[in-house]
Amino acid sequence: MSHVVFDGVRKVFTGGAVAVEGLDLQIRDQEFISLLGPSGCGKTTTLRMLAGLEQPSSGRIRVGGRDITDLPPAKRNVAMVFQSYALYPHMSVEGNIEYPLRKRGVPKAERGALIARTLELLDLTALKERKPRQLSGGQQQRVALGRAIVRDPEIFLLDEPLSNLDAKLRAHMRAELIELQRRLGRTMIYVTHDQLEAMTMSHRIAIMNKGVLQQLDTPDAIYRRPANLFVAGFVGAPAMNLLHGEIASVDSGAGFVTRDLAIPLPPGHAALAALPVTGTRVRAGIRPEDVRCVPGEPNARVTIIEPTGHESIVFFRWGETALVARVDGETRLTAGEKVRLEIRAQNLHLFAEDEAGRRIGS
Amino acid sequence: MTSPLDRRNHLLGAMLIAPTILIFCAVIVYPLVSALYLSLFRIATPTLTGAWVGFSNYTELLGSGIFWRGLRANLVWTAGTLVLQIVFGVLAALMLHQNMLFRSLARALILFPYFISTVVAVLVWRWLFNDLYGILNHLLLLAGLIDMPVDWLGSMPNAMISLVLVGAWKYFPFVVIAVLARLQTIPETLYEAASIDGAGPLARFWDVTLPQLRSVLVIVILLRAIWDFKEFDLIFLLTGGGPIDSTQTLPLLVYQEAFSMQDMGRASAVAVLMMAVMLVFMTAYFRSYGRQEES
Amino acid sequence: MSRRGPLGFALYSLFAWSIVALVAFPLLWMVVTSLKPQNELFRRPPTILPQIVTFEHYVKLILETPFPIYFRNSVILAIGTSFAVIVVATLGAHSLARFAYPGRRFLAQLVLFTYLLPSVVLIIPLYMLMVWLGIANTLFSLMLAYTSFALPFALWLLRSFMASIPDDLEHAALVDGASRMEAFFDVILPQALPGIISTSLFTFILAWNEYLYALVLLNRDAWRPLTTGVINMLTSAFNIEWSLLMAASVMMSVPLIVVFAFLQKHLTQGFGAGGVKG
Repeated sequence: MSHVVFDGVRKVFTGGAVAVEGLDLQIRDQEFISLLGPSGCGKTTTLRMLAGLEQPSSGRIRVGGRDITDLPPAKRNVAMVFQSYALYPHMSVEGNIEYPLRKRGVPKAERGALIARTLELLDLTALKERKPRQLSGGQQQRVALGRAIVRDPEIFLLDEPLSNLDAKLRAHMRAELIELQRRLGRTMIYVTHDQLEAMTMSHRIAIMNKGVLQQLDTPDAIYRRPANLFVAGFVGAPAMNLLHGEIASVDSGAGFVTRDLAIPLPPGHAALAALPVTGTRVRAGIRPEDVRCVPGEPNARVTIIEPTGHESIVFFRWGETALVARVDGETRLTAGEKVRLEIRAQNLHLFAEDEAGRRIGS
Repeated sequence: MTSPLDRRNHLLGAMLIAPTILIFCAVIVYPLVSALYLSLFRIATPTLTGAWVGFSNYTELLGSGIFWRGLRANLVWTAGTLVLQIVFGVLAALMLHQNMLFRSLARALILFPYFISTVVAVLVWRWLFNDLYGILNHLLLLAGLIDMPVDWLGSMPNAMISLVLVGAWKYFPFVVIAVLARLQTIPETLYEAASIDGAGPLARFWDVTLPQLRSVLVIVILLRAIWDFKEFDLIFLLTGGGPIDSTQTLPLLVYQEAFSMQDMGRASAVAVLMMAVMLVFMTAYFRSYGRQEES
Repeated sequence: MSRRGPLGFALYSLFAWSIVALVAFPLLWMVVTSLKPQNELFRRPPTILPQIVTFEHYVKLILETPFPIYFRNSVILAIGTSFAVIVVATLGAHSLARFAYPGRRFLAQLVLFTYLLPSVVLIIPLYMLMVWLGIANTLFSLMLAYTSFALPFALWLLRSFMASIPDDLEHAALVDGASRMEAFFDVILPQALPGIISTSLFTFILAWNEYLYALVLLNRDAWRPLTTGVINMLTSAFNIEWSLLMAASVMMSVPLIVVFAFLQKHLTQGFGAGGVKG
């Protein structure tokens, strides 16, 4: 059993910088969970605290029910893949992979078989005599993985392992890692700032910002029901359109209005149950795919078109409001052209107009 | 709040530096403090027994000519050899920075005087300076620059000049190493820009090279000044402080007091005074450097 | 640097090499003198190059003087000191580079400060300390003194080497199951090897060339190192035998040439990279 519990974990660095603020996080056994967020959000610090490379200022960390907060890294059953791979330059590939076995006291007789199996698994057998500097980036990354796998630890920690690879290799390795985790059946905690990685690979995502956990949920839930303004703006590319406005009466029902738009909330809309009073200032979020071109009297003007092949990212100006939309490849638009835009109101998100920016409704 | 793991790491860190600290305290801190303490006694060297004399060692020294002559000799030696070391060092570094045939070998030969023992340097130069058979006198006579063999080490001001020259020869490579390393980091583009602006080679040296070297030179001058000031081996072996005591710098005076005059207490007092002088100069140097940095 | 044609290059090389020859002349003269037979030495006018080349002085030096003993003593002293310095300084540098404990920064600065002390201040109390410890007049007392002089520079050099080793390497070793000391031996030390080599070579030179402390702390002729030993040969002889002394000088310098050849490539690197920088 290797579920992980962060219990009120706080990390303050000397000098007063708060890296992680009161983290309560529970990670399930055999789960692939991503810690996602911008630089400086505390995700790497959290990972390193689990590894034992940093000590929490307060709070406890438990693995499988066991309190490991005061244990040195060597006594924890975790393996880590570093962003820089951190391969031992003076040892061969085989030596690198053997090292954790040596340190953990695995008898020499058993080591050979384990190493061979790991090399085989990662297609490294032909390279086993080479030194790290003789390997390509992708090969080094596989060695780093091998060093982690060979011990069969309870938990894998990965710190942005794909960020040093080119785009094509990254896509390939994403698929490899997913398959690996499912096959090994071990808990994997994956730190990244790339939301695409987090969304495609994880069972659940923990989004962090400025040391605080923002939302812990499946990728789908995070995308469809972002818990606050930060999550809404961080996940999704191109980013969600965020508008300032207020609650008002629209078409004899409740709706969201700005100077330029008036969007009625359809019955059954998630926010209706907790809707604030008319006149309250709120923020609304509209995903680019929920902005559509429809025939009819124009209400917006095309400003910039970014064709990406099968679709285009188009920037519009609706009155004073700037909007981004996804337009399919068939529709031909030109800059300056006037069109009619329609917003899919059932997918409109509402957030409070304060610093927390919490989601209104469920 | 430090966790038990952090505390354990702190302890390990302290243990690793402990041998260094221990050796330090024993071989440097303790003798240093002792020297201050011993200077208040009169101690007979052979028996190492002594009597308290308070500050009379200091008053006697400062009142006698022997300390001030020593200080003067020290300052003349330091200033003379330092200037030559810096000038030769910078020139040699500039020279070696250019492309030439067998450059690495040339550089190795220029650096070699620094790495041989002072003993070897002294033996070689005393043989060169030898009045009857030394090659130096012979070559100068041959060139017609002198008409009688020169007594390089036995009379003044020859002895001091010889000392300064040998000191420059032995230690200028230190300056070469530091300056050359810095020269190699100056981007070529700075010179190209200066050339385009119409600067000739001398102007390029003055306006591009020298400012870049400033920071290195400040440190090098400080280090060399300190090490030249406290130099013992070279002077002791080349002139022994002679003729009489005209090249007897303060370090040599300490040695003489300890082992010729057999008074360890007085010797310590000279040593302490010497450190005081160095401290005064160092603070003055840092203050003037600090002021220059601000302007 | 202006671009010179081949003629300019040749002329400049000539000019530069004449300067180099001037600086190297004393050392060349040392070698030349050691190879001249005794009678040629005192010929007036003196010859520049030896008319007859002979190795008789070297043979005499090795067979008829205490020179080999002095040589042996210097070897023991230099190697012993280098070893001691490496052990103490690598541990200390690791501590300074990778541990955080109160007072660490102060220690690092204090260590460098003591490098500026005049050695002549310390010889007297040090002499008395060695007498008190009962190790006066032994090679060990010299080794102890030399270790302490070499430490500041060694610590400074090794610390900057170790600090440039990526933190991740040590962390990877820790997560792999190593204790901090295991990580030090398995990962840090191999990476710090170039720094360790440079440091040991510098220490070797320092111990090999040192004179004052050898003079004051060691008075037994059987244990003298080369520096005081050779000077002793000079001053105790009735006639100054210059050819012998020149041969001795050459032989004293040979190990340094070897060491120097190793150091050459590291020298300017070390200074330019982390040391005397603006």
